[in-house]
Amino acid sequence: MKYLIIGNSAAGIFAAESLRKLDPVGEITVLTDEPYAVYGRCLTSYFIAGDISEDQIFIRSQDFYEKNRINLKKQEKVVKIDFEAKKVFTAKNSYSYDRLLIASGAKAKKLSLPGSNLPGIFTLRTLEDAKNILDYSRKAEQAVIVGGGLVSLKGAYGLLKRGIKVTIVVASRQILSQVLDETAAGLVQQNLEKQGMKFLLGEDVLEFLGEDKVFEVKLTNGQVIKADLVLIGKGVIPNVDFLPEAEKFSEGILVDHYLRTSWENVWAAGDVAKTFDVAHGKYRVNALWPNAAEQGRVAAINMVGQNCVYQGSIGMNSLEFFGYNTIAAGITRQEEGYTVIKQRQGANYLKLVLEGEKLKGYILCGEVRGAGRLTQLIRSGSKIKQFPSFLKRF
Amino acid sequence: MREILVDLEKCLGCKTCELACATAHSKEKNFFAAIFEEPKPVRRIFVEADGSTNFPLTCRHCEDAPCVTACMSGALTKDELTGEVVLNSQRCIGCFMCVMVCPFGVIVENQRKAAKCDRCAEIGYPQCVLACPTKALSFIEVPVYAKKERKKYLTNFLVKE
Ligand SMILES: Cc1cc2nc3c(=O)[nH]c(=O)nc-3n(C[C@H](O)[C@H](O)[C@H](O)COP(=O)(O)OP(=O)(O)OC[C@H]3O[C@@H](n4cnc5c(N)ncnc54)[C@H](O)[C@@H]3O)c2cc1C
Repeated sequence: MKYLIIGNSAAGIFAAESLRKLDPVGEITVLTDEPYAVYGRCLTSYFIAGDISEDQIFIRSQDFYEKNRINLKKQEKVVKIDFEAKKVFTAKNSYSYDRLLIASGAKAKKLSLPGSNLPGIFTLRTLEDAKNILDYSRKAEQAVIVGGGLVSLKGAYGLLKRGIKVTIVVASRQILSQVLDETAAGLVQQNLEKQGMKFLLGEDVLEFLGEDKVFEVKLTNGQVIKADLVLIGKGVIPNVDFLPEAEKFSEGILVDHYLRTSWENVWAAGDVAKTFDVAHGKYRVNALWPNAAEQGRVAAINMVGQNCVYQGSIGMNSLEFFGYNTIAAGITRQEEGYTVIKQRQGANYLKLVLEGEKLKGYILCGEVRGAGRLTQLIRSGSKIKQFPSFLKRF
Repeated sequence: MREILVDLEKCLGCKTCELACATAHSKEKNFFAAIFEEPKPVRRIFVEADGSTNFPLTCRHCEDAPCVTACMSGALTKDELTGEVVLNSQRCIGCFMCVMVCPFGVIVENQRKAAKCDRCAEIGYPQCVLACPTKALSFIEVPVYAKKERKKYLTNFLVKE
């Protein structure tokens, strides 16, 4: 059996590992357009910060591919798939398959504003990006971060740790508007402000100013702020350019409960896959590491011919900045039509979002112990009869 | 595969295991010294109560451990030989994704990193088992099928809340 995997990250690697466990003899090939062995994409900001060294970013041992007999083909960018002939084409080669997993992940959205091609303007997605940002940051004093999502904040943290002044421009009235409610976002923001980050909420960028490199950023309110480094964090888009009629998949490749695509013998997993979300009860991309890894594992089980139903994805985030923790999962912002329990105690905050007796989402700030039990309650859909005893600290 | 098992009939909820665990993970490994250590040694076993039933909970070393898939730093891995879920603190960057997904809530924070039962790897034998005055805890070989059954039972116990 010939297994081919497009993608050498969370989904691809967890799939390859599981394939090897389940099928000791099958041929496993992994394609990546990057020049590296598997690394923790989420670690790139810690690398910028200097919290970890470059070798710590590689999350598997050096003999990982050899030991598991996985053929890793680096710098092989897939440009086309022929589903009839069961062939994947890169610029230089072609690879045939019996079973194919598309785990090509996502890329950072770029902005198309005046000046957005100036040197000094970055997005953060790959190790290459992180290295470029780090290099450039040595000459920078003042960075502007565009967007208030997780990647923006993590990038901002990295730069701040390198002694650069950071200002974060957020279009919404709060940071982390996809993840947290206003209260929790406020707590996280306060903590970051204490460390020296500056926030401009309800503002957006109009244009980037500079000649041979970025120098200033002009905001919608007319204000011009100095910026010798800009980091743009405006979300991601799935890597689907190599698919026929790629525009149809701009919101991800829809998969069924077995993570099968509509093409025969082709599965999809990770940031590129549109899966069933258990909290929202509909299909969507939950572009997060734990979902990607889990989907890779489940896809592998199905690729070897066993039937394993994917339990569904869930939007869940854990963020830690300067010792202050926040974990949130499921439905956290929408309150209409739900029963909402909120408890505040100093820097600790708890929010439970229930539909009838079923937990649909939660936020825990400060002390986060036991969060996984709440995640499990969302997943299992079990009824909650009373306030969970392990939360009695509230 | 060896596992820490609980006999529910025997557990009185005395929490001796919790103290033994914290002590075993202290610098001095001595109860009276451990009390005064800073930062405070952290326990990785938790006695839960449901009405009259007591239940010491600790890492179950799950088959398809969600903490291993959630770990973005490669710190948590499954040792296929021993069946153990191993946490390499050196690699842990304290993102607490494992805390977010552990269905048993037994991964905790210790000095800004994750901490969980390591079956007292440093000492060589789980100290909670040694310390349990009623022998409710044991450390024995279990067949894999039994492990799955128990996980189901345990999940139901937790979810009942
Ligand atoms: C800075 C940062 C911080 C993050 N922090 C968190 C966090 O705290 N928590 C969290 O849950 N998630 C976080 N994420 C998101 C997380 O990294 C992703 O959800 C995860 O990496 C998705 O894995 P994946 O395998 O689906 O795809 P990706 O990681 O995107 O990997 C895609 C793979 O496919 C390959 N590929 C793509 N296109 C092609 C092609 N045409 N040909 C060949 N190969 C191709 C790439 O080389 C790569 O190997 C963060 C991301 C970033 C950038």
